[in-house]
Amino acid sequence: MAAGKTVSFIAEPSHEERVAEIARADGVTRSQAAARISALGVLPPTAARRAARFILEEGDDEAQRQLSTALAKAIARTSHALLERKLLGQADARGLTTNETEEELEAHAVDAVATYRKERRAG
Amino acid sequence: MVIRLTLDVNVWFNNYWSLSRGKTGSAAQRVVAACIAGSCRFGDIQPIISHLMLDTLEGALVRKGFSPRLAEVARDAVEAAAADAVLSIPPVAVIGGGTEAVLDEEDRAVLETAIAGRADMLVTSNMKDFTPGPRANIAAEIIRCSPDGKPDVLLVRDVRLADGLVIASPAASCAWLVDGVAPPGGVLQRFMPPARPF
Repeated sequence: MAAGKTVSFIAEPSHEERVAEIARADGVTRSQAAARISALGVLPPTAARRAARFILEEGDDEAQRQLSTALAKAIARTSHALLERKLLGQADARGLTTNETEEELEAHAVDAVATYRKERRAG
Repeated sequence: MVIRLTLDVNVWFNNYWSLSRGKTGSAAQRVVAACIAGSCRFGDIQPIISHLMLDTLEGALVRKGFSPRLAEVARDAVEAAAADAVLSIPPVAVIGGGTEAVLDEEDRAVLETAIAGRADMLVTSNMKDFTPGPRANIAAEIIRCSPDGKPDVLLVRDVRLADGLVIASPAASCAWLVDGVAPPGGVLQRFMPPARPF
């Protein structure tokens, strides 16, 4: 990864507070948190960035909530698809292909979750 | 139309576990895919889940050998798909007039999550823990049994839900949500488009 460059900007107080919360939650500095956030912000094409700016500047709470939900769901879909490819790739690399039936896999899942819960309760 | 859907932890787990074994396309995995995509044949899907269920998913995956990183990614994808419908509810339920209606405490918490989140349907591979009997004294009606005689569709009545909560196996729910098979009478009919007049 190339060396980072310092960028400074004036943030709205509410955004600055949110960046501080994100930094605490992620266990990074505010600067690192702001860099991660900007990495997402530079992804959309120009029209989408302009549309997002319109929502942020002129949208009410409901419009901003809708954008937040849509972003979260879009990120979930992409992340899930990436994880799916990764898990299948790992299975392929290890030559793992199960012959278990759907019923056997379901029973295995029920047992695995129940066992984990029991162990968690037992401490 | 938006279907509010709770998938039991075992269904989410099954998806990731099966993928790690090179398996795709099972009923559980197709229901998970619909949930993540946020749509099915009836319309949009809003996943309903709790923080406790997410914790359980992540922990169970790690216990089965997933790296903490991948287990966290799985948890985050599910949590993000649910967006603002992730509930923080205590695992205390009052179902069918008795707090101990469902014997297993965490199954009870899953049921309570579905009801508190006003879910239309709960999908689980563990039907026996929700079927009226020794393990569950809940106000549930057996709507249908699978060909091997096990209940695979239940309808739970609760004062908080006008239309009740459907509890179904992955195979049954996949048939309705993904494959377009009509559900049994009285189940999810409100989501079906009205018949067109001749």
